[in-house]
Amino acid sequence: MKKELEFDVIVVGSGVGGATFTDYLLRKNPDLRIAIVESGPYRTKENFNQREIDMTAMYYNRGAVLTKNLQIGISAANTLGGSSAVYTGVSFRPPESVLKNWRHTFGMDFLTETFVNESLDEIEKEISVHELPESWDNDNNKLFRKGAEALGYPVKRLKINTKDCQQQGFCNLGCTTGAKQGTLEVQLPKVTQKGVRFFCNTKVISVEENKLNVVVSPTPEGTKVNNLKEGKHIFKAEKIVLAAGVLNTPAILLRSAKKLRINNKNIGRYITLHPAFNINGIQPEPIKNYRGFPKTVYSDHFSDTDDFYLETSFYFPGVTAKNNPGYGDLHQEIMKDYHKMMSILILAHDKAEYKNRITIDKKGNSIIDYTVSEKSKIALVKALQEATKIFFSAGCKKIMLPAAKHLPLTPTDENNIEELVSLKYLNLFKTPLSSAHPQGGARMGKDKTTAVCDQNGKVFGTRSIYISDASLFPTSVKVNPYETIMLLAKHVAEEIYEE
Amino acid sequence: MDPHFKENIILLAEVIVPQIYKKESLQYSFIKYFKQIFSGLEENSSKKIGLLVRVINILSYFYYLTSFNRLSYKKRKKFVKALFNFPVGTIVAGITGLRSLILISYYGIDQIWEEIDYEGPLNKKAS
Repeated sequence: MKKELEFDVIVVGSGVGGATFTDYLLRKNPDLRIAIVESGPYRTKENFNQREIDMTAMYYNRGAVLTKNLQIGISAANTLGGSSAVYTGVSFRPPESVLKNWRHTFGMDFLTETFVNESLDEIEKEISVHELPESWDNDNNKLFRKGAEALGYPVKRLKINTKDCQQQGFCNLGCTTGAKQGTLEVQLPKVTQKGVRFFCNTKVISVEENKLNVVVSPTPEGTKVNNLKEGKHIFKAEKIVLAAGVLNTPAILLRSAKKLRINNKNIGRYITLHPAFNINGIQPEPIKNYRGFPKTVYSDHFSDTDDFYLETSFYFPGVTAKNNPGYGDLHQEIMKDYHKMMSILILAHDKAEYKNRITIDKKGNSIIDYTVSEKSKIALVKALQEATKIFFSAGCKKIMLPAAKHLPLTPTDENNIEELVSLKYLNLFKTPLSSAHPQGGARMGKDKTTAVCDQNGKVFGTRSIYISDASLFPTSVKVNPYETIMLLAKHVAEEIYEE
Repeated sequence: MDPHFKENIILLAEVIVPQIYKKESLQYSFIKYFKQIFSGLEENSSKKIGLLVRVINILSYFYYLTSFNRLSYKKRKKFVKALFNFPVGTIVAGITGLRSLILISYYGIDQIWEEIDYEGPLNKKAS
């Protein structure tokens, strides 16, 4: 055992959960010796090149992690900074209705109005969360607003976390200017100055009390060289905090449950994915939405009644081609109008169900066992119908949908949308349903018969193991989750300090 | 990449994106990017894709009594259409996933960006 691998605290993961936790803990006690262990490579803005194919390397399995039933593709980052390196920076506070449920049903009493507001005021200030001016709306955002408002659907402005943004539009491939205030730009540089050590390309095999078993893989080309030799290593610490994301944190616990002698019946359970479709309509004239900030407006008009949000979005040619249904001549002709495409992101609110879970295979690899519920399917189809209306209302001449009787839909179809876009045309095996917001799998709560962690993030039945990421969410937060993760990370840090 | 696997991927890609069939010179760039993505996949995923390609060949024998690489372009199109509508969901999901890899690889080609009026990266490092 090497002394250099002994710390006061080890944090697994450098995304918003891990980095925010580390930052807050060091504010309380700057003398702590902390290590951050990250499974992805050490990349910073200097390594990003805005090329879609190259930058797929920032995602697990090149962005193609599939659920066990092969129906949903999950995009999760595997790089320093976690998903904050590739998110668009869309910043939502958790809805009060969700927090109320978390307090009343799961005993998360610390989520008082005062704690939530004061914490998020501080966090948002630090990471420069702000509403973008209307002058920054590119044509896609203007057209969404025009189309939705003409139908009487209220549109709201998104908040994002950027500073000196150049509006280049490559947020999901890593921000080359460092404008996006994710952990690569805010928390990680700060904690580095305070002496935190990073170990990248380091995958956690299992966790024990005060001990972490890891394996270091070779450094990928063009990234910073590892500071640990390839192979197996053991880290030791007073406290170990898992913030490896929903695809990993429950899997680490499942691989470790036997040695830890903890009840694993709830580990991995109740995951939600916020299933999403990104759909495109063709405008008569070029609009070039790949430039400018991709998303500035959204509509929550259907959130309470029909369980979905509509946000603007725009993607690069490869992902856009994947999102447009079909193949062959028609698909190719549609792609020639890439520069005329308007784009809408549909996000369905899914219910946390016991059967939906992270599990592991014989080798210990994570498996996402998730079935889209009938309720979510209905929400997705209703969202497709409403988005279609917005496309037509905004002047689109062709629309490519994953659940339509025929493709493309044209203005002659405008009066038959409910008939042409319906559940009977939704085949989840051949639609590009995706998820970028996995949540749950290590539920926080006061009842150890239903939760995995207590209200302070400590794993039930352990002395030294905590969780600080979206795995803690007992239900879907229904909005882009990163601010809520930061809120919980701050709480876990403060509670560990108090201990 | 195994030559047989590579050949089958190109034959499938020609159906997914007919321009690859019409313009043979695109094959080099396409397969370069396909390889780049494929080599970065987790072992489990690349194995599944390899298996799918083998299954496609077996099904080709059932449908046409010959291997996939011996089908005419017209028959290949008909066969791929049948795969997308196959009664077994796993096959449909598999061919849909492969379609995604093919499309992402094809639309990564700079020459194609001009055709769809995509101006590409702004960052000088990328050029």
